[in-house]
Amino acid sequence: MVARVGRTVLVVEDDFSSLEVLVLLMRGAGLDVVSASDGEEAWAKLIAEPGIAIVVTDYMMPRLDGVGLCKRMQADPRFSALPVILMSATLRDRIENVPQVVSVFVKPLLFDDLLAKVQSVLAKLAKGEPET
Amino acid sequence: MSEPTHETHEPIVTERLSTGVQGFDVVVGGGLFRGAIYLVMGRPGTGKTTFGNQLCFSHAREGGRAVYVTLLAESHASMLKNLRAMTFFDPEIVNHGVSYVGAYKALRDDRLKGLLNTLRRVIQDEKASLLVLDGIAPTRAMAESDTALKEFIVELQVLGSMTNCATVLLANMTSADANGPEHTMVDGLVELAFERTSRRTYRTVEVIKFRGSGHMLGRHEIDITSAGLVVHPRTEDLLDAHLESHPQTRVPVGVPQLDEMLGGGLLSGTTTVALGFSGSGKTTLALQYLAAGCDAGQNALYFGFYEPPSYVLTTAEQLGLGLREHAARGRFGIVWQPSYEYGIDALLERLLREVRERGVRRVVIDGFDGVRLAAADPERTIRVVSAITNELRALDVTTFITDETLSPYGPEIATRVEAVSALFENLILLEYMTVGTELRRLISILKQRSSGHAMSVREFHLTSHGMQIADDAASAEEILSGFNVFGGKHLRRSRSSIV
Repeated sequence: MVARVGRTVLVVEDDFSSLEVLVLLMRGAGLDVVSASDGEEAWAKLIAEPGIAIVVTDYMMPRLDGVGLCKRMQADPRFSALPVILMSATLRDRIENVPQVVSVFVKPLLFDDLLAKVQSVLAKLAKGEPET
Repeated sequence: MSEPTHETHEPIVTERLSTGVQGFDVVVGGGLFRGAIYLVMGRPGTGKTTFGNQLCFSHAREGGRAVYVTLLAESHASMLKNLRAMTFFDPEIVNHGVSYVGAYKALRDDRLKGLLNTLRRVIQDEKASLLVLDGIAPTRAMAESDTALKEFIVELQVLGSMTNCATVLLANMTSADANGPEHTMVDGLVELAFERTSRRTYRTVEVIKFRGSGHMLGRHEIDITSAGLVVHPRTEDLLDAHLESHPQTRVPVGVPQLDEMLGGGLLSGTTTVALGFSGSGKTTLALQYLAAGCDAGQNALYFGFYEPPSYVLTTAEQLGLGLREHAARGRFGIVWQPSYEYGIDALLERLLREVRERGVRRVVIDGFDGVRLAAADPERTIRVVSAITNELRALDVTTFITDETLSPYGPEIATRVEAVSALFENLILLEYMTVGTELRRLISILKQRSSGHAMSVREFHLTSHGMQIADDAASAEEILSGFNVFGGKHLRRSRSSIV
């Protein structure tokens, strides 16, 4: 994997309130955050925002879901190395072997755990270490 | 299928946190849920602020961190000053487990978004696991629309869930006003209220909604004491109706002729009511019953409303009963309270606690009317007493209750509580008769469930050695055939004449 330069977190969530709160909490924790409410909007943000270093996305979303977003990123060399954290309320068998996915958080999740994972990924990226 | 390369974080397990409010966790089946949001409403004076602070201090004492956020409310200094009288208050915990934050400026300047961000900040900064927001009314007033308020509530709910922080909103309103988004969207709705009867004013709590757990319906009486709120769950809902039974033995009453009339004594675990007018000898018989138990090595309890402990012990002493000595040895106890002091649930909670703690096998409730007067809702009296007698039976306690009849003479025997005859296993009637100008006393057993008993009426006397019952029915026969009685009527009566 090739590390991208940047510290921005792209948060993708179709549930309005969850998205608002996640963004609020992440900004409160000192992170740069951009947000999108589905996979299609996230794809547009990825193209438009050069500093995105990690994607935190919901699985079930309208138009383009989280796994669909991952597959589209995988097919594009600009984003194929971008780590993804998936949030899901569903079972995890359908998201096996999506290479970008470094972690799956089954909801309800604890923000501190999610934040710790995001910060750990960002720290490794900053050191140029691959995220596995 | 190959193994996934990612790690998986399981969903958080929703834990419950104890409120520290005695009895409340019982009503909600085990405390508040971490990450859930609750609305506690009530008019001023119903105990919302005490409840909120009690939660905070209890939570901090158990190692959690609580934040009490005020909007347009009394100053923190004033609140803390008032809290100092409460035993749950601990100044050492303030700012080291319980923090007080004013958020009105954020609400006024940036409306609901500003307030939400402030709450987010205090939760993150303080690592709070309990948040109390005192004053939903200013939040509602500053909301641009109902939708904005709804968004705020949902976001607060999500914030609590993601940070595993229980949120309690305190609102100065009643369930009659409970039609806003804050009522429909929260995980739990609790109402604190005042209730008034002709006899007394009391506080209640009602859990209207509680997601994730069964809860006890209806209004439960509460007291605000120096220890904070104390909830008395409704006795009939609290006590298990399916209880184990014990093998029954005969329990001597302490009056040999009465034991003979009963077939050897009362059956253990049963409840007996001694019915009679004032002065008919109910308390004397009750004291003899208690003394007989203590003499036989059983722990006994007098639970009364009218005779203070010193009077009870002196009366027993005058009858030659050794209850004072038994009391000194811890075998005999007296619990006395004025009849208006407690609600019925608090009262019977007290009775059960004493019975359990003292290992009591014989209990006397001297004055069923005291229990009746404690019930704000008279319709509950029978249900509550039935639940208590079931519980006492399960504890193998043999209960003796005195109940005053409304008149000294027949032909009808009226009591203040309906259905007394159906409620209890055994009924003993003590009554007066006039023969010429002389008052005479008679005793009869109207009922002893699951056992035969003497069907004859006997005369008895109250002497310096207690109740002395005639060995046979001869003197009672003379009295009852004398015809010189109230209204000139013959006073033979049947069980069905109890009303």
